Amino acid sequence: MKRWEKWLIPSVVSVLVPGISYAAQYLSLEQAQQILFSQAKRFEGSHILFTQEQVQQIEKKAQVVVSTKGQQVWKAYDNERFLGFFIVDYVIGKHELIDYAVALEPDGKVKGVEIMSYRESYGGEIRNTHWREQFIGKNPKSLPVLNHNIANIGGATLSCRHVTEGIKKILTVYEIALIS
Amino acid sequence: MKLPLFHEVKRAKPLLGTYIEITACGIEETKLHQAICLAFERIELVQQLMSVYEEESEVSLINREAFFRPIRVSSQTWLVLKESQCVSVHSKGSFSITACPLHRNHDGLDPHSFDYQNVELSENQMVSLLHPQTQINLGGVAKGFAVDQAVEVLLEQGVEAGLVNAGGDLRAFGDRVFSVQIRHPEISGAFLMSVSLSNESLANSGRYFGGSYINLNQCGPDQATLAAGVRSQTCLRADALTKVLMNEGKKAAWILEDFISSGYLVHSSENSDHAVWTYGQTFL
Repeated sequence: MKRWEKWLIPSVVSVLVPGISYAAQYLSLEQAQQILFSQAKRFEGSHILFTQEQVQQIEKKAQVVVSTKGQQVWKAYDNERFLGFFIVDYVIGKHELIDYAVALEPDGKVKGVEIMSYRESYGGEIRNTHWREQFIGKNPKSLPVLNHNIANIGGATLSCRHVTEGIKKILTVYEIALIS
Repeated sequence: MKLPLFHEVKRAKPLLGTYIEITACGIEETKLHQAICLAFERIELVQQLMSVYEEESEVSLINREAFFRPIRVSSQTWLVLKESQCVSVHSKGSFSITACPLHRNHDGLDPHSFDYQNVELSENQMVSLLHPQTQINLGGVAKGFAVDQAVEVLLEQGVEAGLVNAGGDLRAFGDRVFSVQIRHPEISGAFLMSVSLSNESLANSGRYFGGSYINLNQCGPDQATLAAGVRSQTCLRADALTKVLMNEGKKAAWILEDFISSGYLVHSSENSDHAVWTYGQTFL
């Protein structure tokens, strides 16, 4: 094999491997805050730490596993008027990792939900196929970039069950750890 | 002359049991965000009107009372009912909103109650059910319709081009071509094919990732069919026609022609790879 031909391998393989990863970045933290609380002039952020007892209460009530030690919460204000809570959370599905933001009215009613980023990956396949071995010893820079060019996905309908469960958890967090 | 900067805004929300992703292109970013907010609101309205799980929805009202008295429905629900009836008539009931196995136990029900002809649509947007056990479920088409409605709002708001994707059922509009990858029904992470969409819709049905597809045809499902998809003008029509294609297989090709649509079918074959059939010259 000629020297220059070696450099063709990564690009050819990356074409053969079907779309391994699909990722979409929708909103930054500031954009999500702006959209969900358009009247807010300032956001006061804090990290609420759950006590062991609270974790048990949340898990029992929301029927979900609490995998974090706490929750990142912002209070939205228009000057001195309290507008509600802005909470960022994430869920991990079978193949997907989703960051999302929930806005709650001061009384705990859901004001809005925005997906901030969506990442779908098939790590198992990457680990299990032989193609990865071909890159051992190669310059990391030459590794094929996962297929981020996939703009839109058709086909199977995706279920938003995990985010729905996540919102249920956040409502329980509001009740047990935020207002008490 | 300096050309104005063209923005693309992409947002997503969990609605209709899936993720609705809206891409809007135009000059003013703030206006794009406002248009997307209104489009999401319209989708929420479709959810409120057509969900079988919400007691206050029009569909629930029809199911409770339309056998006893005609029910007047909104123009949105009316449009979905009319289009569904049109596809049911053309496909001789292969697609039907009355065969709603997802939320009911079928034991002991009169098979005649699933007949699409039990839904009567009369003047002034009045709906009647002609059999006491007949129930409707717009779950198979509401998503497609919601996509159409969102596109309508975005166009009204002056968005120049965009794409609305309801977890896999999508519609492109404006002067831009969108590339769409169609998932493989059995191999997660793999794609069957890529299609380019411009001012049209694409909907899909199938037994994705080992899930089951509920066949509405009383004659029994075409076991070999794994997935089907249809390209059509509106997403509502594409959504309804995929069910026909899924149930009828190759026999449905002429129905697609009637509706100026094209489609694909994925068959499983025991000894070879999956066979992909496309119908209509314009599919790929």
